[in-house]
Amino acid sequence: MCKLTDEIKTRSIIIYNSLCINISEQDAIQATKIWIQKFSDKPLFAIRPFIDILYETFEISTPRPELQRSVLSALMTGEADLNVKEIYVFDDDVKDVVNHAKNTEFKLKHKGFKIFISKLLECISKRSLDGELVIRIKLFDNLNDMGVTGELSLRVKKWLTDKNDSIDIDGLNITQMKQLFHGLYVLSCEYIGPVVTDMEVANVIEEMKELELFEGFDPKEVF
Amino acid sequence: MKYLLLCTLLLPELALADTALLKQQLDTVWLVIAGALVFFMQAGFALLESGLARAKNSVNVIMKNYIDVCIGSVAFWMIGYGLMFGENTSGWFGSNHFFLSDVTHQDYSLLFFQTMFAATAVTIASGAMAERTRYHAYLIGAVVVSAFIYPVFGSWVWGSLYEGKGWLAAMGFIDFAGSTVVHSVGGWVALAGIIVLGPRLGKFDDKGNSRNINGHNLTLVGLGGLILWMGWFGFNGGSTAAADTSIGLIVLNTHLAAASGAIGVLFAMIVARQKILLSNSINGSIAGLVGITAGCASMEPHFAMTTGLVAGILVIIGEKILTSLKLDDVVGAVSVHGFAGVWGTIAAGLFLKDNLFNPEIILVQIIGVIVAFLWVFPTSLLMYFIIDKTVGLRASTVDEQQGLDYSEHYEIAYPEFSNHLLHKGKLQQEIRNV
Repeated sequence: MCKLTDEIKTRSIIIYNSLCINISEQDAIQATKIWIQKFSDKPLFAIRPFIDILYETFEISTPRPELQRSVLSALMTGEADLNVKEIYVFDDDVKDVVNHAKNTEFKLKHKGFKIFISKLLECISKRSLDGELVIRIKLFDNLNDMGVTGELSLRVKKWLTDKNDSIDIDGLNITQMKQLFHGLYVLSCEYIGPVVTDMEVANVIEEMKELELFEGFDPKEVF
Repeated sequence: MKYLLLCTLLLPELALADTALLKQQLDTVWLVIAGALVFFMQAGFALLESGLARAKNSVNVIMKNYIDVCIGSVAFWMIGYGLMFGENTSGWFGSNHFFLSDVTHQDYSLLFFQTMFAATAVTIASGAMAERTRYHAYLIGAVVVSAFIYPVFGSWVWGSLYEGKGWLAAMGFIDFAGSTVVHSVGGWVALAGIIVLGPRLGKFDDKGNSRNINGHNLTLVGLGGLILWMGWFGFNGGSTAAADTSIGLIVLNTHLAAASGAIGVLFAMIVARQKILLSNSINGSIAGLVGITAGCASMEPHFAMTTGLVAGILVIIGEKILTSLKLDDVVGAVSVHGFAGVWGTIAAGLFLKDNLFNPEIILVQIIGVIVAFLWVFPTSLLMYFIIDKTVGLRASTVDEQQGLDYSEHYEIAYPEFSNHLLHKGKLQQEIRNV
């Protein structure tokens, strides 16, 4: 196993997060391990064999270009964006790296997600009250398709209908959060138009930047 | 003494030979200059289309226009030129002159000029299909159009210009510089493309009403329109393939039609009690140019003006028809190139010099227009349908939200104005790293 530098540790978090969008969390951990062991010291163009191994090893339904783009995006994140200083020193166990990602960055993303969605819905309601109501209904009607089921689904529905941010929806994973946001974006385009939606998204991001919670963290990282 | 006598006798012959050579050289120079002007039209298309797209898709639009010329040129040289101008034994398309080489310099200049035409036909669809088409899928379409769809129809009209034979031309079909051959073909390809693609996210609301999705830079649109206008002097003027005096009438007609096209839009908007938009005015000019392309060499200036005026009005009507059918044409290419191309081709028959309003000629023009549609539209529809079912033509809604600049090219045109994009993109990261 190669020596884990701070950069590799941090980059592995980003790669893990990018893989989570396309494969299960367990597989993403294994895949990140493979990357650390075999590819972390290789140049960027070694991404192809890495992707080959992923498709040979795991059951992946995502089209290859999409997965490749996702991993490439993670690998191309500049060192300045890696926040190496904020990383603790870990043992050589990848799981620690991954757990760190889950415990810190993920929680922050979760909070950011709730704030983002609530604020965006608030903006939509100012422009189209009917539209906002229909969007909320359509969103929780589609929760099953997003893989949000059982008790979590009930909590998300309650969060969407009661407009109460104290309701806990921490069980949502990154993929589900992305899908939920994306569903909201598509519906918003339909009800208030794509140009206005983009403007409102930009406004919400600016508002979020002002929050103390996101000091030193780009709210765009939520997605 | 004998030598002097011989010289005196040969002098007129030598002078004639010199004149013929000079004419040949001038023709070649004019054709190459005209070809270069037509090439410059690509810059006009790129600016116009990019300006009419949103900022998050501007790189993608420019990339499509840029690579259109590259792919279109190579594919046309490899296959298209042979299909269009090769010896035509079947009556449907040419069968030689693929990968054209080892011919005269004049042949090369004709190939160069025609290559620019093919690139123009290909690039028309890119604007209509902007903001939601996957880059690679679009390129496959561009290859098929430049290597197959465009040249096959072109051979029916212009094949006899070289070694082929054009059955439509033999019927008396008039399309001097390509209102139908180039522009309607491009317009019908665009129509097929937008049908298969479907509208952009949010273009129509839940009640089916159309929403304006304004372009990000109308200055670029204005500049693009003017560049196209200038390039058209080469497009129509060069179609003489000879540096002769007829160019004067051709470029004057071209200019008048463009001006009248914008006036036509102005008139239509006033009658409809609507605001006079820059994008519509420029589209009106381009429609005028498209309209006059077929008959620029064969009608008097006042008819050229009429042709342009009607073409401009048609742009507004055409856009309304498309919107009512819930078809999303980002730049209005179907109206500007398709509908105005149809009108221009019929106008070339209506206003034919010394033979005005001849029903036989008009009938042939109508047949030509219908044949163009029947060949291009179904084949393009099938092509895009196959592309969609195999490699996927439509970008995902996630990519549409992020913008195709990022999802297809990983580059952002305006990183400082991209707060609504939930990613950073290559450029922004590089700026940070510096």
